Amino acid sequence: MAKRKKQKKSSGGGSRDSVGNGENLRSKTTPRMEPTPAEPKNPVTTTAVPEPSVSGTPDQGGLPSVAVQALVSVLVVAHLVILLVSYTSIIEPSSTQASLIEKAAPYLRMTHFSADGRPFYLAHGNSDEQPHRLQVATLPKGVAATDSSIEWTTIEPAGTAGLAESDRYARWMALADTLAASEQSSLAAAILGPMVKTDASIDLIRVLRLPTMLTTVEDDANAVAYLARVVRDGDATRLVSVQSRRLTTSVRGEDGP
Amino acid sequence: MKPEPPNPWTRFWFTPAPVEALAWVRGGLCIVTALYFVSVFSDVAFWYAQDAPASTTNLSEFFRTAELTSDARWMVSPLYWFDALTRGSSWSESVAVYRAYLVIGIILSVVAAIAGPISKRSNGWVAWCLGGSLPTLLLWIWFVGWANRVVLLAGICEPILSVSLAALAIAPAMSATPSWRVTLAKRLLEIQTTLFAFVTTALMLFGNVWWNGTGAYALAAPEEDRFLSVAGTFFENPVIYEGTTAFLLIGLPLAVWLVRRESLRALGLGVWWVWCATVALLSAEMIYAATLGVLILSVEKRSHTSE
Repeated sequence: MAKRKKQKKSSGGGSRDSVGNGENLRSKTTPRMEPTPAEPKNPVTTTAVPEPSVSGTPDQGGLPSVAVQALVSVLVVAHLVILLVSYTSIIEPSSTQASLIEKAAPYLRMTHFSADGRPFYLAHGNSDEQPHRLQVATLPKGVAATDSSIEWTTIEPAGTAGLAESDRYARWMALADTLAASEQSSLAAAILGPMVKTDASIDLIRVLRLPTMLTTVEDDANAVAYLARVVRDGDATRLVSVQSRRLTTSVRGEDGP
Repeated sequence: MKPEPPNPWTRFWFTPAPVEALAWVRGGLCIVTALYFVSVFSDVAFWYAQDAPASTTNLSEFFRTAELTSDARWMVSPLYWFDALTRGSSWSESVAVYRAYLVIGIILSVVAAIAGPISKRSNGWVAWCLGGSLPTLLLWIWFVGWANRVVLLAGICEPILSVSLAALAIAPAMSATPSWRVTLAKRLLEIQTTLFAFVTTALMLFGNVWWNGTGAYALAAPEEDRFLSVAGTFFENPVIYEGTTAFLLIGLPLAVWLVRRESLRALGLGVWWVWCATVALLSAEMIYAATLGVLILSVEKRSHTSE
């Protein structure tokens, strides 16, 4: 073992001088992998310490055996292709992409490699990027859930704005907005219900989109992303979605605004 | 008999390299992972305790309602198993258990960051345990366990951190000789980083805001949810935010191209890190930006031999 270390030192492959610059070190060792006619011996085979290869056969110049190289190459290509398909499916996957992602789901989900439609584009100026706030209220007797006189209490996110805690709150509310907008109110209720379960005084719950410097008057008029009554039956709590009245420039019927 | 010279593919992926080639990336990713675990610590009780919005019971209910149980079965996590095994007892969905998980995650991050130097000074089984892939592999598995548990609260930093830690785990933390596994890990990180750079830009182009010059403004617009408010500042000058939009759009691919050029590498690193700093300040994605900031160090300048 001591002899091997001495050989390595003479090659310069792992000397202390090179420790600070791994890249230079690697590029210095690279030419040794390419013997030329003027360099009849392969210096790496005489200077580097061979690692035992996975397949059990001796390595050539620190390289893994051909079988290991082939296996690793196939795995690397498969991994990169799956990753590419997952990340390029964020906007709208083609049927082929969807099929590939479904087949690769065990790999993508177990490893949490899946892009899963997350906003890697950072911003597209959509409504789900607006700040969202959860509001709760006690409903006075004889007042409709959509009545403008209801006094709402806002549950603000914890922590400093823009940091992790506040970001998790924003993500949860944006998810509720997305589910409600895609007419999956029962799922929005499933994620918001636990937030009001313990406070029996809450009769109404809503998720509000706050205006930003880029939203229009029309966007701001549709600020309520989700509105629901809290129905309690013993220990069980259910949220029943209420369609809020929306402002519009179009003429409605008799029951218009 | 002379061995045949390796082909370009073999040279690219398997040429042995010293572990020092990954030292900065390893240290950086481990620190970012530790910060990630720290950032989750404060509101564990709010999200994951019994009856909390993201408790295991409520998540299972959500997946059942959404008919996503077939997808959810692959989201494995020790925390799901623990909550299921201890159901009915006070240990199930216990805040203390979740906090202990995070503390172990922070310890694993620190151990994985310093495993190489410690292994170098140790002998026997300590050197064996710390010198190989084990510390980083454990960290990756631990991180994935958490990311899969918090799946509905996870953002864009978790997949990138997971895929990067997985690649890093291929390389040993310490090796007396250059190892092909170091090169494999480094090349994988390099290709993945390049992929993130180009895919991010391509995805941005699907939004009008990146064409009409308001992309950077859209990032900062939800000011109630941002660390930095740009309202009333110089940023509201169209030249500034439209210029920032253009920079954010082309910054990543441009930086990847520059970093590979020996004479322009410093400029490329500067462009990349300014991009990361801008995104961190304008958006709420600080850990994502920090992860990308580290990953650029895996992109190697093209050596003369490879050109």
